[in-house]
Amino acid sequence: MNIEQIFSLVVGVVAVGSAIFMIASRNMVMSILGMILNFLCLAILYLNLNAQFVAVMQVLVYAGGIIVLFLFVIMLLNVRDKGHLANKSKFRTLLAIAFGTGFLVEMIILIFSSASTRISFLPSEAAQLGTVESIGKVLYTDYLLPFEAVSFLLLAAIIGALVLAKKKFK
Amino acid sequence: MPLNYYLILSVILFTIGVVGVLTQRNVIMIFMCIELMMNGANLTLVAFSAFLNNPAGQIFVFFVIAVAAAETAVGLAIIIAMFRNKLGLNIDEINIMKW
Repeated sequence: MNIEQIFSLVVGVVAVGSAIFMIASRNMVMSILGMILNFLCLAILYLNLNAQFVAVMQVLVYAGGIIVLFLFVIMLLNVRDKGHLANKSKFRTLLAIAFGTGFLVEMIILIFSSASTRISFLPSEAAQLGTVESIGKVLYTDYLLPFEAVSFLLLAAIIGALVLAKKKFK
Repeated sequence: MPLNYYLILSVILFTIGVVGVLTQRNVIMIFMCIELMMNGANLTLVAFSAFLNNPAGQIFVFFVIAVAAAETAVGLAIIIAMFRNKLGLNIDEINIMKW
């Protein structure tokens, strides 16, 4: 094992640990902090995969925008402690964990029996794949129509959020 | 790292999100777990894109991130509207859509 593999293994373990911390923590602000750590670990993994543009988008949009929105709502509604919302039913928790474990085992068996096992090295020409230049070239030629559709979607989301948060239902 | 490492990591993250959605009773926490599941799927897309040397996966992740941002804005607005109308945040108690 070389240093790069050890590094990505450590980052992956931190990502899984922070995700578990996120759903296990009783304080919602601590859950948000776990979520930030998880998003940053994923950004590092994207950099490892030569996807620089996606890594920067991950930090800007997720860790910068979405997390701030979540924190803002938690502070606004003052629901930091979720103790009173705690799950009383032990049976439901056990059922959920059993279902999750079953799904995980099934997917891991599927991954190891698929053709992806044969792919073990990044292609050497992939270093240029994720740069802003090459992503922009593809985005503004082949994927121009979806790109414009996304701008409409974001406009609709802005208007929808304003209307929903403003109105008092009767 | 081989491709399988990234695939298994993303499946683990997705499963943690699923378990979170099934066990949590707080609407905001369920929403955060959905974001976690989306991140797991994004990792799969980026890994395949890098290993197969095809930019389509990373373009798709770009669109997923844009849709996730729109979804978060509208979803948190719905949560604020629920809170203002005194429905609370516990999904077991929110059943006005039930017939």
